[in-house]
Amino acid sequence: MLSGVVDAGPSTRRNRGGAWSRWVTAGTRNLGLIGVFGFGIVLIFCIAAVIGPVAVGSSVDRIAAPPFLRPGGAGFLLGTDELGRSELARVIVAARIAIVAAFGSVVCGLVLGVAMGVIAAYVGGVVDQVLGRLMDFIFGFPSYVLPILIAVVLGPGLWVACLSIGLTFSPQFGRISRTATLNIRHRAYVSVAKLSGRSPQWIIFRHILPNIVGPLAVMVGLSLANAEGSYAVLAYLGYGVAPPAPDYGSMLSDAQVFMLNDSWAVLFPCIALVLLVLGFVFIGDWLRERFDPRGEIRFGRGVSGQ
Amino acid sequence: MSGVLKYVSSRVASSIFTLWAISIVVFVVLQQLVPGNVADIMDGSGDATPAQVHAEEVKLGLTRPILDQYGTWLGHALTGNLGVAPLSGQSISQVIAQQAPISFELAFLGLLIAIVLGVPVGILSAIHRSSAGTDVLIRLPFLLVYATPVFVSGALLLLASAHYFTALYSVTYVSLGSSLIGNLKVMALPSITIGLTEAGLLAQMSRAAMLEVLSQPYIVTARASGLRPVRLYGLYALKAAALPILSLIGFLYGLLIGGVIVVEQVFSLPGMGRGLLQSITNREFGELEAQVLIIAIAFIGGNLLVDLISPLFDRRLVSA
Repeated sequence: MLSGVVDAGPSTRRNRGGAWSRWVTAGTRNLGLIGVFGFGIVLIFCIAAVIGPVAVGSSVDRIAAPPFLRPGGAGFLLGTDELGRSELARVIVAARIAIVAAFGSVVCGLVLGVAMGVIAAYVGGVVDQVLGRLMDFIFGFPSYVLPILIAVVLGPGLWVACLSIGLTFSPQFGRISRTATLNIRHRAYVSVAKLSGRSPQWIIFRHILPNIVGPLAVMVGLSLANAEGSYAVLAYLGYGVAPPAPDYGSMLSDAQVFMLNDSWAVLFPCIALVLLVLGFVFIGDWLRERFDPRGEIRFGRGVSGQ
Repeated sequence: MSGVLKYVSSRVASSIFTLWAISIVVFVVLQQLVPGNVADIMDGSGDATPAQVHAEEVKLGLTRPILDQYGTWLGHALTGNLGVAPLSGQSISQVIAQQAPISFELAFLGLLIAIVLGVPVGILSAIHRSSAGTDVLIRLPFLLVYATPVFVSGALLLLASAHYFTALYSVTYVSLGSSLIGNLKVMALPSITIGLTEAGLLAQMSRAAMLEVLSQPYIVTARASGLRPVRLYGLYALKAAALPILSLIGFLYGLLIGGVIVVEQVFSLPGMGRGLLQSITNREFGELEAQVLIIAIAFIGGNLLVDLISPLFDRRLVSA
């Protein structure tokens, strides 16, 4: 709807030949408004994640003189937290953990799920049954329960959180890749490859995986926002990165204690977190419009476990 | 008929199997792998001799083979005896009986709010998709709510209640038995927190389900032949969209239970989710096992119910 309006501006200016405006035109045309917003927000967070810790330097842990929990103003743009650390520095640096957590969890879930789904469908028989049971088992835990239990066993931390959140997502990816693999397993070109002596690995990587990229991309888009939210919850409950590393979830749980008297410090981790999740939601929406216009791929469990 | 029987029995069997697998994993794996046990926690200050700690472990049966402990626990649990919590000395069944109603009430109210808000909005925004402005206007607030993690909206609602609607601000739990109004006041904000988040998701999902149905040729035909909108959307489309929405609610239910755990933490409600986190801290595996299992029973049972209702909307599920 609005993409047309945005288009009109740069196209009139195209004669001036700015590379930037051409880029914007191409971007809005291919991405649409939702895509531009989604990728834009996530890009800003990615930039903060890459250069933020360097740019902010040691000021992230530096403790200012009282008063603590001071509101924003000169010197501290967003104020200070309960220990007198700069909120702005912490919000910027926390982007790295947030981005790593979201992408790390989804990559873990993708790899685990695709491996289970493709192997289950390709080998079939008992292997299919066992992997199906395993996925049912993982799905039998309500959200957050399995990651919490895993964090208790392995100790809290960023990578443990990624792995455990990825594990809870893996049945989603497994279900999609299993169904897609079943659909193409008996196509002629797969049989030909088999008859000409190609190894199963070759067939899976050359024929099967390229065929399920579309549905998997949609699921990745849907999972990113969920992964970010799940990690934030784990961090809020105290199973994220260890302090004093800044992290939106733990920043909020620390600030919440003082919220009724000093509500200032609660706001910024909230805003940053919601903005980032919204960015991921938009990306998910854009990927769906592109690869799954009929909305066939959903986050959820198929009836009767198929 | 045999198709129905086969469908029902396979769903029930797989649910029971999953529950059993969860029970064994939580009991055996956690107890083996987690460093420390309740005897260490009871010796909080660390001034007990190793021999005293060991004696306590023997008394609690923690030195017996783990499968042996599991067998005993399972045998007792099946007869309704969940044992005694070593730290508090309370019967675990009693602890659960105090915690569970809070969590279930929260989950029920949250789901109710989510369905009442989410499904109509999703369906309306699908129907009005052609008028882009309406669609975006309806969707944006729900996208925003959906993108807000449950502890963020909980904390913000709590903050807002402390400043603006103090009638709902409360830090002490009032049980349903002692005062209905008091209880509903305490539960209002937590339920709204859960309900809003889930409503955002449900609106998104039911919109997608409805859009898919509306793109079907028979809907286009029905519209072209002049069917009144009420009949077209209310009867034709809704009936076809009911199945996907139903299975979404089943999925949502798992998120809802997770949300209950977090919201109880935010609002300091003494429910099962908060209890679960406490059992972990105290290494009270007997209590933890009971809490995880009851949460899993609620979740798997809810999904089983959805699976069993689903064939009423689509007979092909049982005839295959």
